[in-house]
Amino acid sequence: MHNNAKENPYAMLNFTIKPEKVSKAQTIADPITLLDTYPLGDGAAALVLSNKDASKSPLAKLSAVESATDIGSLDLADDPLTISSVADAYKRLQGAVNTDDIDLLEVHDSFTITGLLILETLGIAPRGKAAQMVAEGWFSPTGGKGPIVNPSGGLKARGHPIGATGVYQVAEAALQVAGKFPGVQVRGARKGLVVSMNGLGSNAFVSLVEGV
Amino acid sequence: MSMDLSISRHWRRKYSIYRLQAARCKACGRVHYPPRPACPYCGSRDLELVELPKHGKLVSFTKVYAVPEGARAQSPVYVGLVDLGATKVVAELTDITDQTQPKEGMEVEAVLRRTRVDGEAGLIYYALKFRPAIGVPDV
Amino acid sequence: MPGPQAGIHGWGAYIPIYRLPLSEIARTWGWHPEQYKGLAVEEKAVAGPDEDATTMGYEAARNAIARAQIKPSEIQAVFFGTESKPYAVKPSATIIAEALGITPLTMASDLEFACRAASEGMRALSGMASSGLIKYGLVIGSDTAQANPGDVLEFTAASGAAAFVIGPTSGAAAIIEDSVTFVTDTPDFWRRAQEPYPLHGEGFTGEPAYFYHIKNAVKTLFDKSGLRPTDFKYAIFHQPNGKFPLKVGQDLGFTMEQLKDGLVTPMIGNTYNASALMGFAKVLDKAKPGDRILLAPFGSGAGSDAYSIVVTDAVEAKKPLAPTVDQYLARKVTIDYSAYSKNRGIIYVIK
Ligand SMILES: [Zn+2]
Repeated sequence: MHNNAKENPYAMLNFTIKPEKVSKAQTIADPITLLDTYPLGDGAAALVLSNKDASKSPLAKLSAVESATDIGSLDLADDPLTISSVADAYKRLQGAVNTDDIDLLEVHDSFTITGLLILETLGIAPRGKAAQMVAEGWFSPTGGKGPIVNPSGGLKARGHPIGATGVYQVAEAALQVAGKFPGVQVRGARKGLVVSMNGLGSNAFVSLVEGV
Repeated sequence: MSMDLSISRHWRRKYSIYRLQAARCKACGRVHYPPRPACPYCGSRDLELVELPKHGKLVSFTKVYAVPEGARAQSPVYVGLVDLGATKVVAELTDITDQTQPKEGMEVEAVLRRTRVDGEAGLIYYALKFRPAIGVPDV
Repeated sequence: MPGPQAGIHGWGAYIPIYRLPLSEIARTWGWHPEQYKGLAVEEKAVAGPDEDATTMGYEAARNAIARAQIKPSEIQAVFFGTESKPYAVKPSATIIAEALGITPLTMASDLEFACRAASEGMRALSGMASSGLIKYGLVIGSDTAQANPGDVLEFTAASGAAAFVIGPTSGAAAIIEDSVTFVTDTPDFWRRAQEPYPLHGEGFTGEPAYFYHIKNAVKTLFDKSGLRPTDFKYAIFHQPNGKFPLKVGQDLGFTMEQLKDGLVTPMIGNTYNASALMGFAKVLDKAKPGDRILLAPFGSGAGSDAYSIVVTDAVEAKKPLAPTVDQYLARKVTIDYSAYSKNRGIIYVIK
């Protein structure tokens, strides 16, 4: 996921990393190292939204946006390994639009573990298996079997300018389905799923972006 | 519960910080810590204050090297998720040494310790922390 | 004629987990390797980086209240004796009282009389309890004893706490049947208001201070009560090192058999306000109903109390309700001088 940032001109850490480099980086809170965390940085992103009939040449279609809230607390959660707000928002999205055949995801991997838990919460990876699947290249743009995850490089590599991050993610998905992303372009992408959240998931937004 | 160096915040929360005061929801029966105005599980505002037991089991923990200012003397700071039965709490662990390393499932007990000190002249912030249990009773 | 009597309902101790071998101090500061051997102490207890006299006193008090088998809110006075107050102004007694659920209907104050402040609190509480002014009172002796790095005091200045719940005689684990206090103005040891470390008037430490005051307090108690050393099962004295309490005890006519169980300084150093009181807690951990105990704390400046205390049947049921002094003595992790320096704030950090 991180390595995709090498091609992304907007990425803050636009280089590839190997597992040894992550494990040997400065330990912040064991076992999380510096490269498991997002870099603090500034950034801005913008979207121009319109009624679906108002624009003659839209870049992409924002098919649905759903949100949910939850306790967002490690100690109060019954199951700290499921992000309930993401699960609830995704369920609502599935009720509103067809989420089959997703080509790519932009997920909120503020930390390595957060990204993995989102994939498991969405059911894209079975519980406890996301790390292994990422390591095996399941979600990679070269030869992966699943949807491509974080072609932008994700929060840990693109950067996480807090309030701008969610808009970045939707903009990146829109450029993907328009075939215009300047970095790793998912070939023939039609459907992009964006998962944004805050903290430990006290709220989450899930959006479906489709090509036009 | 995060610890800001705010005198009034610490004072407002002293019963939670010193005695593990929590709230039990009369509508759904669930307990949360620290007490909030409404139940985080069902939204009811019909709550009663309760004190949590000071003994529990360590569910998980981490060892924080990137410590806040004023905590370098206590680095690395161990933070644990502790199951107290009625609810779980996230709290600092103490008396962790090479010989007394934390383990998942370990019995722990809450004791009063310094958590942060505001420079040379400011307030000393005390809070309950959990350490490997030696059998200090609840009172 | 015995005066009004009060009871000891609960006792508790606390010793931090860390121990510094005195050989580390000798090595660091270039003392002769045999320098400290005369003190009869091999290692000392050192509070952790998040501990102070207040946190240690809290734990000792929790143990004492548990053994007293009362609700914390039944305590109507908290006296905290220390010479290592975390705040010069702001009582530790209220912090502990709040954290233990004793507040708000209680007296609370920090007392100062070098190493015997807590003992003064204990004697005051026994008067308050026997007069009926209060039902239960809590006294805590707790110190993270300071010593100037490189000073000979550094060998023994240690950390620890002891606490007792004092109340009526009925239901008590032990009865304070009589007590006296003996004080004078003696320049043996002091710390000026803004100074971090104490100084000692070298020639005054032994005979004119420690021995003179303890012997006079104990002899006065004997004269007043008609008791003699053979009436006591145990005798516990203030323990600035491992030797003084044995010498003063033997000078007063006590045997090694009566003295040995109350010793804690040889294992952990001098915990100042907790020194004699922790020895007393250790004796209560093993004492049998009917045993009579002599307790004589001492504080520089200078003064000594002498108590005659008789153990009751209630002691047995209370013993298992909290960790014993022996359990705390056994729980230890050895540290080096650098960890000690960090823990005790000896390293000067430029802000
Ligand atoms: Zn509820």
